[in-house]
Amino acid sequence: MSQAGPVNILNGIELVIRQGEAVGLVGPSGSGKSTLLMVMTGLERPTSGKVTVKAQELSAFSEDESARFRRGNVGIVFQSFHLIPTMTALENVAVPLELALAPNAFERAKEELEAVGLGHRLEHYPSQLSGGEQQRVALARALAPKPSLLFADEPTGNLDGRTGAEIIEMMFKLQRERGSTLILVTHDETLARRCDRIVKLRDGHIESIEDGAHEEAAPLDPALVAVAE
Amino acid sequence: MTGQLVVAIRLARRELLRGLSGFRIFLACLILGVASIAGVGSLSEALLEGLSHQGRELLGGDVELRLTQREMDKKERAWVEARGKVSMIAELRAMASALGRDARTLVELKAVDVRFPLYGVADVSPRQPLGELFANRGGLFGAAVDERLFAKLGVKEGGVVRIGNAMFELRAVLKQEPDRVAGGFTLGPRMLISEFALRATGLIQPGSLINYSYRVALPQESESRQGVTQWIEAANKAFPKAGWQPRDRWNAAPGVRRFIQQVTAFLTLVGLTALVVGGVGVASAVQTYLDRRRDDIATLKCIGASGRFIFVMFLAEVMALALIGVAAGLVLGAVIPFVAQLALSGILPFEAEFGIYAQPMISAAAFGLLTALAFAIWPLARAQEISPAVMFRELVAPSRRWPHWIYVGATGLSFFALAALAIVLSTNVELAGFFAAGAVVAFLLLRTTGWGMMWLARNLPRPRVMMARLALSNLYRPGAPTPAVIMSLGLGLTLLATIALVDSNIRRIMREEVPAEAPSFFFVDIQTNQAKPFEDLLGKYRGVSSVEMVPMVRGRIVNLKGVPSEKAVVSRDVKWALSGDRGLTYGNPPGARDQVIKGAWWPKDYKDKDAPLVSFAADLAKGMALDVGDMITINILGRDISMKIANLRRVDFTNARMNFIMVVSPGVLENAPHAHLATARVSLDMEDEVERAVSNTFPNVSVVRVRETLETANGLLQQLAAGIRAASFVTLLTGLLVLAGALAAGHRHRLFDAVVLKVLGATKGQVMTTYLIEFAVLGAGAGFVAAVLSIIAAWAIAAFLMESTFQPSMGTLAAVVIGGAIAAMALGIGATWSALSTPAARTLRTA
Repeated sequence: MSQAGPVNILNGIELVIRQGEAVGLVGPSGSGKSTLLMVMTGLERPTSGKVTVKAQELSAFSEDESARFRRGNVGIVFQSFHLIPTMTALENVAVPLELALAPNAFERAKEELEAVGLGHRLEHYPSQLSGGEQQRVALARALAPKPSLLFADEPTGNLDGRTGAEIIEMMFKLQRERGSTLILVTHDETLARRCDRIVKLRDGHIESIEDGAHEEAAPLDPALVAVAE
Repeated sequence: MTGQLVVAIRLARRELLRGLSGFRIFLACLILGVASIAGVGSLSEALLEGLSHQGRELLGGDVELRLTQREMDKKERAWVEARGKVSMIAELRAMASALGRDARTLVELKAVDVRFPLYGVADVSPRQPLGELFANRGGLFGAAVDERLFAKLGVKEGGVVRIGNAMFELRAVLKQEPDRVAGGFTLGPRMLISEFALRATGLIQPGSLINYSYRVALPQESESRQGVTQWIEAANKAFPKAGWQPRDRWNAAPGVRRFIQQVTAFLTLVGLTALVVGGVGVASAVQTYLDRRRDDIATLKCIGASGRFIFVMFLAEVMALALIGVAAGLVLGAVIPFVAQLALSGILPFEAEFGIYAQPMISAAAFGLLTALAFAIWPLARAQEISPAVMFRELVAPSRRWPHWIYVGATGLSFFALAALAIVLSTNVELAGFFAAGAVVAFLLLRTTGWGMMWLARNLPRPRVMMARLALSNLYRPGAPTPAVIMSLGLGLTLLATIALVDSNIRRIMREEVPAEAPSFFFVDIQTNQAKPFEDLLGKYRGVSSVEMVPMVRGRIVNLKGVPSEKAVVSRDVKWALSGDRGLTYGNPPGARDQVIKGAWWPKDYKDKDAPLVSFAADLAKGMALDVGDMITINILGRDISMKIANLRRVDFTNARMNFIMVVSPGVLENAPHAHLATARVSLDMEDEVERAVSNTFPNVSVVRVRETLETANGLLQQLAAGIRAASFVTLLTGLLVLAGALAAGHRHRLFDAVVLKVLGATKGQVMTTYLIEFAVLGAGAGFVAAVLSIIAAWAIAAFLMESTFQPSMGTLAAVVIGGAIAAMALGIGATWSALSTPAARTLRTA
């Protein structure tokens, strides 16, 4: 809502994302990519329409219900990492596991950090880590509860090219290994092409949906259905 | 160097012109503190100026010579009459009984001669010349009385009362006497009668407690200050043993002046407390501002600005804002006396001279600017000493370095200057010194607690529970409000708890200590020939016990170990004993021997009138540097008697019993004109009957009900406590502002954490639990320090100011500290609730 009145950021979006699929969301600035991501993660509610995940209507949830749903179901990697500055890498990764009341949260967090190559940085605070390392912690945190949905919002936006490429490699590798569904928001069409499908947005609506370069055939079960405006 | 300075100031000016945000609390703290100091100072000046300019009316003459228990003799009177116009007034306490009704009360009687008042006008209603008002009509003298007397006796205007042997018609209401400054502590309503009427009452008996004041209007040639001083010197020279207390019109109401100065000293310190508490807000505001300007500072440093340049630039900004705050505070402070004028009109017995006085304005401004400087240097110094690279990451990687020693020194010097100014400007150096020391201790304790809590939170084993872990880490994170919250909440709670503890201690003393020992009645002015019949009368009544009667003589200490008492160096707390007449007794009064702690009581049959001995109160002897064997001289009824201190007694002045500073050995005062003082304990149901019997049988004896007197004293103490509470309001308000500022400073971090946690699946309740833990720890820390500090402060007030015992009421302490901490933390939670309600998406986009 702006001071001038409501602004429709999304417009007649209808999108079905299948389980295990990698979908790239691309489009120019202001096309609604991040808003769609927020809606799909339950962080924002569509004015009308609905988002269904695992046969549950996410868009009908209250704020707390959305939060509870995200535990174990949704992992998010942000462009700005968004780590809690007063917690060590290990603690940051353990937080979602603790919230999900997972047993052995710290052991699992340690395994996740080892999986992203940060086994030697467990007790470091975000301020003591490089940007690439912080993003790897963020990736470990997003994947730690083994979510069925992994969202990434411009995950390489704050990183140099080489480090960004490393993160992307790691993210696709872990997503494939765990069979998670990946929704990747990016400006970078080359990066998006690595996904199974590319959804192009413009002015809040889907301009086109194309197949990506990904070789594996996607399973048929829908992981997420979004109909939003 | 100068060029750099100019550029720095130019940049600061440019920024100021664009307007700075985030300084509301900074300004509010300074305005409140400066306004209260300037307001109290201005009001005090207005009152003192009024006192100075109306000295002649307030004193009732250019000079007053005051005598106790005796009138001037003919020679003295003739000497004075030859050198000015004289008016005499006599003041005493007496019993007034309503005619035809069973009602009586103690009155403060004031008998005046035909020349009264020499200056000013006595305001009586209905208006009439005093001569007509006092005239004897058909055996009834006229009197003007305080309105309260009508209610006390149940009589109306025109009603008749009996005092001693005379009858009085209450012909007018006494609205205002020009020479009566501030009511002070009175035992009964005022009654104004003529000198002739007083003589008719028969109350003027040998040894009756009557004060005679001779006011003199001097001829024009000797009314200058020098002339008046010379006049007094001549009077003392002519009658060196007269034993009068001279007073001039520049010192008309020393008690009131002292009271105003003491209250001013106290209230200035309360204002200064507000300012110092506000200083924490100043430091927080500067810190927050610099935190926000981190990138700009880094950029400036990258393009060549030196650390000193940064320091000067931001110091200029901060001090310019401080000037604005101080100026606004001064304006508000200057207005306060004019508002107070409305409230004080009709209450003040003299006219205050309201206006804008330079001295309180300058000192308030100095306090304000020094506070701003003292609290701003540290954060400014830290900002200027951090390298640009670190600055970019300071939010997550704080520098814990101390500033360069020059800035540490400058901070220390500013605080020292603040304390020195407070002490130098105070009329009560001891109190100000105590305050400064107390403030340093309180600050150190609160700062140490803040740092200690941060250290502990950082070094404790990390809790496995995420919410507790986050709460603990919030306590020590960079930019954590822990020190500021502990400081502001701690000081606020300390103040509240101190007030509550002092209050409950007063109530406890009133409830427990006094009634257990106190007699029910004091009987004053019992003549020697009435002593036996008086005791017999009391003996007839059931419920009367512990009757004690001692002779009482009034005397003034005029010489201590060969030094005239006005020149003797004595401690402040015993000065009162030298300032006028004191009651003393003689012989072997019951119980006195048991109070001796040094020296020995004289033998029971000791009666050497040529070698008089005196027993002296130990506490007072200490304050006057007197010891056993020292000589003192007491002027009794115009006669100087030198005595040797035989022993020192421990006297408890708080037990509301007959306590004498001095007891003189037998054989010295028996023949001096004097009366007796008696006390008795009477069961509650018999009090009225005993009072009635004594008043009817001995009309000249004044009956003072101890319970009523204590209630009056209690009322005065409660008023004082209410005044202190009201004055502390400014400090509490400042504390609340600082607390709000401190919590707001941490708001950005909390908002970020809340959003990240919500993204990760935390519910509002879970995030709130984190903050609850954080606030509970902060509240507990502040509450603990406040409990310790308030007990020390309340004990100090009880021990040094009120000279009473102290027992902390733990229930009160717990209620105030826990309740206050919960209330303050609830405010914090309330403010944080908005953080939880902010949509995550909005924060994520802007973070």
